[in-house]
Amino acid sequence: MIKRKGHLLFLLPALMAVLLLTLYPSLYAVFLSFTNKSLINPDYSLVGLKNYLELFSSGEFWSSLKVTIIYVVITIFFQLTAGFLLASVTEKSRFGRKLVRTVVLISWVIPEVIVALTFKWMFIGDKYGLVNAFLLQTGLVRESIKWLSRGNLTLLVAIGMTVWRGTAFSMIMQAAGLQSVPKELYEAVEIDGANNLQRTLFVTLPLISSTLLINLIIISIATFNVMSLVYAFSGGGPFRATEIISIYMYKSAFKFFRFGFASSISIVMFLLNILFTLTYIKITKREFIT
Amino acid sequence: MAVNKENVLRNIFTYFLFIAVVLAAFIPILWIIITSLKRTIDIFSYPPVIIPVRPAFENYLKIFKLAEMSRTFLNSIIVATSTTVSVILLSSLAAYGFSRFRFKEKGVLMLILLGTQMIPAVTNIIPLYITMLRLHLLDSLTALLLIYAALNIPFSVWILKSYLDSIPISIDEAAMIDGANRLYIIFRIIFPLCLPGIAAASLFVFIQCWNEFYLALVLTSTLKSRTIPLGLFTFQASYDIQWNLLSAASVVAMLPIILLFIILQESFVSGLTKGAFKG
Repeated sequence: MIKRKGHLLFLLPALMAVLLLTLYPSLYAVFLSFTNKSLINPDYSLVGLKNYLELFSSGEFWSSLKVTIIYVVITIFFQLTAGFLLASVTEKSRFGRKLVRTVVLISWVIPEVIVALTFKWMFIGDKYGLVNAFLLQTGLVRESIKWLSRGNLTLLVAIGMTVWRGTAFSMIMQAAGLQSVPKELYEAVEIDGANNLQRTLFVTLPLISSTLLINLIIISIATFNVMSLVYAFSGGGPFRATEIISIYMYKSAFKFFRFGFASSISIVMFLLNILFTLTYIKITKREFIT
Repeated sequence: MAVNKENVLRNIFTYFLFIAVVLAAFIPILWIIITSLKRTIDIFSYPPVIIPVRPAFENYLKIFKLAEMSRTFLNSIIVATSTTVSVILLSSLAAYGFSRFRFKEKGVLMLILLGTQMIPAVTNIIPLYITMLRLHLLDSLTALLLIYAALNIPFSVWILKSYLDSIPISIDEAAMIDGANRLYIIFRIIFPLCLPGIAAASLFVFIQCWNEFYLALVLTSTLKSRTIPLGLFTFQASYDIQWNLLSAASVVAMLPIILLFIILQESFVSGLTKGAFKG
């Protein structure tokens, strides 16, 4: 009873909504990036590549990119490692799967703003902050640490916060990957007398390498696009120390109202996203073939 | 493989590890709950009060007397519910179309739909702002509803289509032979069968709308349309921060999400990994 006619009636409403509110805006953003449109001045004209040239010669762009790379690389390293470890230790125990995974996953479903404000409150720079109070009480430090006014430390806390929030995703991906490893293999190497470390290095890791790779790409894209979490936490400060590229773009657009210029930043980000995604598709395709 | 000393030690070690992980994952959440029960004078005491002797439950009443909180909470409920309903309606129809019809543009349309998922929010934010400005929809719940719906449709279509595909088409055929019309088949026979899929997709959409910050930050400017994440954010930015009230509001904002998540966790996680692996 598979019909050939009438499908459009079912598809059109959903397709129209998506095309009008996601595809059309992104094409419009490409156009805007070649104009000098600003919110303040209603007149605008095409300026060719001027925005892009200004962007690539601007020190702010490169410093934002540097912060972004540091932020993304460290974050995904810890998310991936912690995700793998959590998935492995919770795999064999029912208690672990149920309770530990649920608790870790909660950090991943609550609003980003709450995560951001909570970390701000915990790391507040005087002795009333939970972290400083703990460090002072245990005698690990003598004076409270200015977590939120020293740039490097703020970036460090921002990274820690992102790891805390995002590890759950890597954990469930790795858990799914681990489930696909045939149990006989473990038994086989156990008979051969392999220890835990050898088993992980030579059996588990090679077998879930494709899961790890896909995981890595997905969290790279997700972390690269983070805006709300860091913005609500630090607003990009102090002194631009946590101004990742998405915040730089937001400020150009909605603090300085330079829509054309900000669009060029967003297009550069979009292109980097596409680059990540193409790598992802290439890898998953290869997986299907082999 | 008898229970030996080594195994017992390993078990103890594992449970110790679990407790450490649970603590690490839970301390920030626990700290908001504790802070939400402190009196204002306890907030800046040193060393910090870990267990409030006289829990200040009145904080939870106070926040609902603040317009920032009660109004944004209401706005969030309206936006998240109406978006979820619209998304599920549109996506289940589309998923049915994708699953039960054969047409040659199917592959391309599915690719376009899922391809839009690659577009980062950052790219669309300025055009959406300009569009809503022109439509006089800036600072309205309608704008949020429209955009959130469009953002969440592709993934929901994806989840629902995979559920529909697993329901044999012979069920449609049997009902058709019995003389049922198509809409009856869809709403009374097929959709009830993919309820787990609908539940997973609804939860996903609801959480997305409830948590969304960036678009709401740009598109809303007054209490009329601000959602709860913005309510919390501006409350934090505008006053000399009352952390106990902010925490109480945060707890209230987290609670529905955590409860929904615990209830529907299984289908949520499986739906998500499915999407992640194939998406």
